Amino acid sequence: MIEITGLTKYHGGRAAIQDVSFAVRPGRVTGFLGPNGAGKSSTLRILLGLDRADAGSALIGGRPYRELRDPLRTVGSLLEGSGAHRSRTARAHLGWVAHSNGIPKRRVGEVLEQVGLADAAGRRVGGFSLGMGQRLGMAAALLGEPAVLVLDEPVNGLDPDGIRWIRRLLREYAADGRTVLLSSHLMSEMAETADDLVVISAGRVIAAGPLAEVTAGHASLEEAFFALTDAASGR
Amino acid sequence: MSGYGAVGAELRKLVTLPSALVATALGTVFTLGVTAMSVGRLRDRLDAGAPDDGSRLDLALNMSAPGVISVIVLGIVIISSEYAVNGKDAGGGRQIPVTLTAVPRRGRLLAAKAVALVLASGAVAAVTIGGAILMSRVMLGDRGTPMGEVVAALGWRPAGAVAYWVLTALIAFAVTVMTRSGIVPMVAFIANTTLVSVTFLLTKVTPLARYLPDVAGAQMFATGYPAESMVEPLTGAFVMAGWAVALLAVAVTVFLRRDA
Amino acid sequence: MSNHPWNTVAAELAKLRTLPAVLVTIAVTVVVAAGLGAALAAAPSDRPLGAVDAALHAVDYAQTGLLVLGVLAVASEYAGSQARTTLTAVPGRLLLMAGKVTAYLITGGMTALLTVAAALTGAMIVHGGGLVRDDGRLDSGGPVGGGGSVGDDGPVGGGGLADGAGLVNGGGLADGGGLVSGGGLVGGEDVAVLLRAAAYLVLIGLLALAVAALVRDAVAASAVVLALVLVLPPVLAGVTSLAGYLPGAAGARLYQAGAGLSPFEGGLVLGCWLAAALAVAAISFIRRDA
Repeated sequence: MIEITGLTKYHGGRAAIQDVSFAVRPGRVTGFLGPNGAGKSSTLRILLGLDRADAGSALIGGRPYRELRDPLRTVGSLLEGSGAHRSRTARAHLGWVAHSNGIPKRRVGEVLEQVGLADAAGRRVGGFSLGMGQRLGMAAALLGEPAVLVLDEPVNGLDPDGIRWIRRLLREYAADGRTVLLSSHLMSEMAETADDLVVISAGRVIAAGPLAEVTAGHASLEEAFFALTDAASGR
Repeated sequence: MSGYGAVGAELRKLVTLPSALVATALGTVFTLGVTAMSVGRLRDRLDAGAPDDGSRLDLALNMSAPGVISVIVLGIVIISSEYAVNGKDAGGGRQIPVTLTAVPRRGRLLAAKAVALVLASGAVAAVTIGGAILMSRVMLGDRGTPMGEVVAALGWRPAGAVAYWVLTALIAFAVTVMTRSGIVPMVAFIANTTLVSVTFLLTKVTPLARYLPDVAGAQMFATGYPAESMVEPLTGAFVMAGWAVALLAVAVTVFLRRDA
Repeated sequence: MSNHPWNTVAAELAKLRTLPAVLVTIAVTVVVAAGLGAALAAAPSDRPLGAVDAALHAVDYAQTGLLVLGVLAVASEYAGSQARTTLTAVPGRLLLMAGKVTAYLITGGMTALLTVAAALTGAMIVHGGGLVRDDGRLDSGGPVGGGGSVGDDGPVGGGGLADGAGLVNGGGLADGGGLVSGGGLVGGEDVAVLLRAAAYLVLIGLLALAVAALVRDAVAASAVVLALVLVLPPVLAGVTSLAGYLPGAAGARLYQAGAGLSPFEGGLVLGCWLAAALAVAAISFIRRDA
């Protein structure tokens, strides 16, 4: 469903990512791992049409994000922060997002309920906690009932209840035959949620495949991660 | 932290803020450039035999007036930059928590910012206004009045102009402490220094308008202010300083009571 | 097309409608315009301003509100992480830009009409509901607050925006095909010039929108457009006649007479500025990473 091929992006002469290729299959949760500055965000931003690649392609269902018709009905995404203006209410924020992609208005109430923000719907986003901002970001991602979810650190700032909710949601999504690409630094969380893994370090993919394959020979995902990334950075 | 250290930190923040540097540089270069062009035209007219209408004494001082915008920007960004959001929004991304944990005594923090602002805006004002006067003297050469006479004729007015700039910066600062966002004071203060000045319009409507801060303060340096029965220069200085002190007092009160 | 154009416009309108700063800007602009109209009509002078002239002169001041509106329409995207949501919702940059411009034109158009109407109403109330129309001009010419004597001193004399506001020519009271408004009669020619003033307000705000799309910061964009529209023309008028071709100075010819350009030429010059600014903004918007 997601195909990334030879993706390269330079930031002021320095390669943020170089020749990154991997595929994300439907019906599975794919974990996207890498140290800070490894190129995860660059990859996801190009995938979502926010930034341009200097080479390569990132396709969703065979098309670049910018060519999708009403993209939020195909791809739901969450990157850092709530993605909302601080002086707008949660409901007003989701309202304009729904408008932009012709999503029925009733979905706004439904997703607010789903992420547990129904009581805060009329409050301004500027007064939200980190976790509430994260829940609002998830609400926007789920708004268009998309077949693909792209989530960067979705559990960041969430309480234990919220973390469990995300984990179950992602499992259900995959079980429905939909596609989930998930980045996180929480190894134990990833080990419980992901079916496949893509590990990136210093802008290059250093491992990809089913969870069991990538962690084979290591006691845990965490140990596998350090072994892989240390080897890649020559430590 | 000592008061000296807090002032030093605020000055350092100010000179590492790109918007402050750009505003100051643009304001100064632009003001001096326009002054130079005006003086050049005056020189041509004098050479062509036009009578000296006395403007060669005042021209530089008058032309430097719009430069006050650069110190208005300084007064605004010295505090609005603390509240600007960058990156992650919910729960953080602003500089103010760092500033307040570094200097928890809020009164001292505002005092340090005010002192840094007085030093910075005073320096910008002195360089721009002084530079404009000096440049016009040099450009006019022997057509101009000797420097001693220029100084005598202008008297305290250049100093009055510098005081006007510094007080304007402080008032912009005090208002921005209250609004936190820079956009409202930026728009209001810049618009009010132009031809569409609401305070100037009010001088046509009510005599009380002569006690507005910028109207009163302008008497410190302006000649031929185009409105009647304005206050005396010294009174103007006191009125404008009074506004600055009062607004700063309100700003301190608000800042002390408010959550960061 | 990635999104339906109308959905994009509807979303942009919903954004403007739910942003408190936008609502406050519109309300303040309209209310202040009424006060300015009244103040300008009331200002004692040898030749007092008629209601229409006072309203037109008030537009000089009220344009600040439309400048802010244009800035907010774009720059509010960048006050946090909203720009990312916007661009994932509407990834077609040109479509998004067109949606923003359209939503602004609708909102700004209503604001401009309300602003001019409010200024006229304020002025008419001062004139006791009647309409005093003459060729009077406010004896301002002046400088102002901080400005020392920029407006009328030495070589700078007279070039100011405030000058000549009262000189919009046109007949006397309620000539031909009068329109009843607020208890007084406003002539057809007056209606035309008032509508041109409203058009100017919308267009100058559109310039602010383009600048904000380039600068991506509300405070910086405000400073740039205020400098371009309000600060530079009177200052540069003293040193070069080209100052009349700055967007604000040229555009103002749409509703107030002055040296140099005719209303049509003034509008044309402003149109060229807008075309250039929007083109540069669109190109940078399309090319730049979010």
